[in-house]
This record gives sequence, structure tokens and C-alpha cells, in this order.
Amino acid sequence: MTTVPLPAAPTVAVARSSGSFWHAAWYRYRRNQLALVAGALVLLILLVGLLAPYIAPYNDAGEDLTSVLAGASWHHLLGTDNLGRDTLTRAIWGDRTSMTIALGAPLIGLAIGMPMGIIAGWFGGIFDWVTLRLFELFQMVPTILAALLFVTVFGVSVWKLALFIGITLWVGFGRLARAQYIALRDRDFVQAARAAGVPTWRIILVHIMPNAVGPIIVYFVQQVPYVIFTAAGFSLLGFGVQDPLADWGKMINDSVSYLPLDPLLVLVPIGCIGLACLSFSFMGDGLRDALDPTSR
Amino acid sequence: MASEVLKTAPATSARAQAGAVPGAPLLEIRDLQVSFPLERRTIYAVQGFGMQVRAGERVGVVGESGSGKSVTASAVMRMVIMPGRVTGGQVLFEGRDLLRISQAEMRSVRGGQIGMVPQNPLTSLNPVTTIATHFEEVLKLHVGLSKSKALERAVELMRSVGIPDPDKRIHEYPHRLSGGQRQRVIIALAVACQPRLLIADEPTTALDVTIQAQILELIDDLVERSNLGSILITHNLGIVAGHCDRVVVMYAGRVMESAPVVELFDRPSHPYTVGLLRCVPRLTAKRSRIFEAIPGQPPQVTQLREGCPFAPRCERAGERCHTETPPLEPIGPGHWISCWDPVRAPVTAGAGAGAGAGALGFPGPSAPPGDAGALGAPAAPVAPFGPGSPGILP
Repeated sequence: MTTVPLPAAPTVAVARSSGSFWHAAWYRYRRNQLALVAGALVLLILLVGLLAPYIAPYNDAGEDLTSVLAGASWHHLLGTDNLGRDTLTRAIWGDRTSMTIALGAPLIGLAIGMPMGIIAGWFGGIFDWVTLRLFELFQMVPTILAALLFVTVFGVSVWKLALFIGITLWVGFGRLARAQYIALRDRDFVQAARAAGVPTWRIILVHIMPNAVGPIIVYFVQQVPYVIFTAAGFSLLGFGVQDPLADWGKMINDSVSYLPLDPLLVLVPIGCIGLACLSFSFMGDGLRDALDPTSR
Repeated sequence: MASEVLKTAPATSARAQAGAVPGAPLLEIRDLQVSFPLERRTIYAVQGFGMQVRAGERVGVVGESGSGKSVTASAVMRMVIMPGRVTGGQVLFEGRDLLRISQAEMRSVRGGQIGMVPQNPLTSLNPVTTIATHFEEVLKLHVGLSKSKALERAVELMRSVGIPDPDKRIHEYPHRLSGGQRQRVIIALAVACQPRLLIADEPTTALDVTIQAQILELIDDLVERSNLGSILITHNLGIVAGHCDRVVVMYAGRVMESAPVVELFDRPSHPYTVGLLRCVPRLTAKRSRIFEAIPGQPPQVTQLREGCPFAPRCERAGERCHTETPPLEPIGPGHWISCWDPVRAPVTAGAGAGAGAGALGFPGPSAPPGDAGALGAPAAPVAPFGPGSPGILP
């Protein structure tokens, strides 16, 4: 920006934010430094996961029994585990696995929940009633229990894990989408669009959707740390991803017994989980303030 | 030029043409009934409402809040909000009953043949899309214009409603425009697809007084240029006086009085109309009499029963007013009233009786007395408003 950064009052921010809703949102987000740092870290985490095959110093499954529990050195910056696998490499590949689940599960929840919520919220009546009962039915079952059941029945892989956790998440997305559509359904601009003869599907997708996505994006980002924790919990219980794949939770599980020999083995994955969760949480907070300025 | 955009008829005076060819009305509402079934009671918002609009005619619908004006407008568009339902009547638009056509047909009527100007310009544009997108959407939908053609036309429309720098402003988001400008944009949107009828539901309530006049003049201008029929819903009698050809006074979902605007102001006959006119503050009045009010509250009709709905607040109400619903009957050329005891005896009783002999609706704004009778079909007298009645005239 060419404008001089003033110690601006919020009102100035609104007045100066030019153009669209998204411009204004970005302007508000930028002013939150914690969220800005968190956002950068999130990008870094995603980038590392994406580029894992290129940046990891060793082969992720490469065991080297000659250097078991070697400790930090120039060869292995963060040491090795009980099978001689490089911890840094494992952490980088674990990033990839964890992020796949952490983003995949909410995506699946979104894909199931949003259409149901939209139908319930827009059409109301019997649709709403049925969807609400479904919400209640699914909320009755504890998340972990349901996912564990799925894992036992269908086995496990990264995507299956994302799917199982995702299925337990859809209710939240459904509720939120329903609430958004109920709130927006009778707004003047929606009525005006109807009065202009715009078909229903277009009103739902083109007129209401962009107005409704703000809180949904926020909710999505806020779900990520929860899923990271859940997935780590699964791995810790031995129901998560299986060898040779790495996952932060599994790394902790594998190395707990070697904690006295090399604390790094446990501290590294814990640090990764903590950093990822905090980053996503603060980013979620920043997004909430930016996309939904009335919620403060 | 701006006028070329909106002109559908040749340059002959649109209003004169409409008067010369009475023909079928553009819009005719007959015996409209709308009710809102709630959990414990039902609100009968509109009960046997009827009116006509001809091409080039500006009809004002006035009444207090809750009298059913807006519900009537949304019933015409078939957009009564849940749980409201149209339970009876007809809305004939160019001969078609809008209440009976398919959803798809109705969509092409909305925006395409009937334009609607909603009440609140500040919230009636989608905040996340540009003005251009709004225009592109309706023009693609109803006229089938391509994106670039639509943009071109949208700019012309924006210019014709008096927005400066339309080619730049059109790419802006609604919140960057002032309230008056947004209402202009909305009006331009409503007439973008050259509708035949314009319904404006209190188009100026959210605007300040200086802008109000400009917006009303803009609507008048469009109506004149394109020979549109228009319905102006308002509670402001001042607006009606200046911007309508004919007035329908509504109370509790019924027509109380309907007359050409000059007639209504010169010779108001329904006690309710008289009361409304008395409520208009006059600075020349004595200090204590500047603000007058009709005592009591307008009713929320939850029971269908006989009797004039205004009777409880009417100072002239007799016994009959509480027990029998007065039929809507002509008392003069184009002047209809639903009252057992009008304020003033009709001057042209003979002509009025003739007109009542079977007219289905209201004659046009400037129809001569004889014309009114000629309009009516020779069929049995149909009283679209309430129970059929022998023409009881004083």
C-alpha cells in the first residue's frame, strides 16, 4: 500500500478499505499481528508437508540400525529413533500425514454438512425437522467411539482416517450452514433477487453462499487443531496410521518408552502438534474477527 | 440519450394513449384473500381486496401499517412470506391469472414483466457483488443479453436514472453508494428488462425528504416514458397527492375507498379517508390542532366476521356498521366506497348508480361517467368485495 500506516482507529480502517468484502476482510486481518504470524506459520506447515519428498534429508522409512537412538548430531539434526530413522525426516513426513488428515477431515465434514444445512435452512419445514433429528442422532454418539468403531470395521489408512473423523464433524458444519441460511433467507436482498425472477438454485449458490461462507471458513480453520489432536490421539492408541507411515501422534507413541534416553524423540512431535494447533487457532481467531466483524 | 433506453412506445404521449384506449386493464386483482395461519390463530391480512391498473396509470395504495398493503404487493408477485398463503381470488396480469401459472412462468413475470422496487434500498442489494453483477444477472435472465451487452445497457440504465459516472460506479460494491443512489440503482434494475408494471413498496421510507422527491419524480418519469402501469404503496398522503392518478384506501385488508386522486382529496367520502386526511399536519391550523389522530388502533384481523372493520373507531358508526359488511359500491365516476353512511351524499348519484350496474372493477382515472357504465359487462352484478349486495345508495 502506498498510504502511510497511521496508528489507525478501527473506523478509519472501515472507511479506507476499498472495494469488496474480501478486501475489507484482508485489511482487518492484516491489522492483527498475532494472526498474521499464525497465518505465515500455517502456510509454512502446509508448504513443508507439500514438499516433504524434496526437503526431507533422509528416506522417510529408511531404517539404519547402525545409528539407533543416535541423539542430535550434524548427521541427524534432531537425532534418530529406536530403528535408526531420522527424526527430522519423520517429523517432516509426519507433517504431510497429519495435515492431510487435519484438512481432509473438515473438508469431508463440510462436504456432507453444508448441503444438508443449506437444504434444512432454506427450505425449512419437513426438511428442517428431519435434518435437526439427524443432527441430534449423530451428536449422541461420542466422536472417538464412532471413529474407533469405523477403524475396527474398515481398517485404516490416511484417507480412511480423514473420512472417519470427517463423518463425525459434519454436524457442526450442518448446524452452521443451516443457521446462516435461515438468517439470510429473509434478508431484503434475497427477497429482491426473488422479485427479480432469479431461480432458487441461483439464489442459494450465487446470492447467499458468498454471504454465508465467512463463519463457515472460520469454523473450518477452528476444526483443524481439534482434528490434529484427535488424529494424534488415535495414533497414540494405536488406531491411527500404521508403519511405515509417520504421523506426529504415532511418533510420540513409538518413542514414549525411549524418553529417558532421548527426550527429543518425544519433544519434537509434541512441539509440532503444539505449533500447528496454536497457529491454526490464532489464524482462526484472526479470520473470525476479519470475516465476521460483528461477532466481537 | 437516456430516454431512448426506456422508451418502448413511440413518442406519442403515453398517458393520453392509455386514456384513449380503455381496453382490458394491465393488472386486475379480484377478491384477493391472504391469511397467515399461526400456531394459535390465523391472521386474515387481506380479505377480498380488488383493484385495477391500466397501462400508464399510477395507482396509489394507502393505509396504515398493517393494513395489508405490502402483503397485497407480495401476493401479486406470489412472494408472500411463510407461513402466509393466498387463499382465494385472482391476480389477472394481461389476462393471465398469476396465481395459477407455473413457477417457471412466474419467474419470468417477476423482474421480466413486473418490476418491483422494494422498501429498503440500503439492504436490497447483495453486499458481496458489484452493481454490474446485479444488472448482468437480470438482463441475462430475462433478455438473454451477453455479459458485454448487458454491461453496456446497464451503464445506459444507470445514466438514465441519474447516476453520475455510471461506467465507473457500476463496478463498485453497493456499500459505496449513498442511499439515494442505491434506490436509483434498484429502480434501474426494476425497469431494466422493460416490465409492463412497476410495483413500488414504500420506495422512499428509508430516504431523507429531499431525496424522496427526486426518487418519486424519477419513477413518474419512467412510468410516463415507457407507458408503465405502476402501483405505489405508501402511507404518505402527500406522496399520493403528487404522484398518483388514482388512490385506493386500504384498511384491515379491505378497500375502503377508491377514487381518482383529485376526487379523493376534494370529496373524501369514507369516514376513514376523512380521518386520514385530517391526520395530515397543517401548519396553518391552530396550534392544538396541528396533529390529529384517529383514536384507537388498526385491528389485527384474527376472526372473520361481519361488519365494517373500521366501525370500532368510526364516529359515525351505527348499529348496522357492526353487523353487516358494507359492499364496495360506486358513488360517482370512478369513485367507489365501502360504507353504510358516507360522509357526503354523492353529487352524481345517477351516473354512479349506472356505473354500479355491473362494473367488475373500477373505471380508469379519467373515464367519463358514461364510460364507466360501458366498461361493465352486462352479466349479473358481480361484487368482488364481500357479499353480493343490491346497490344500496343513499
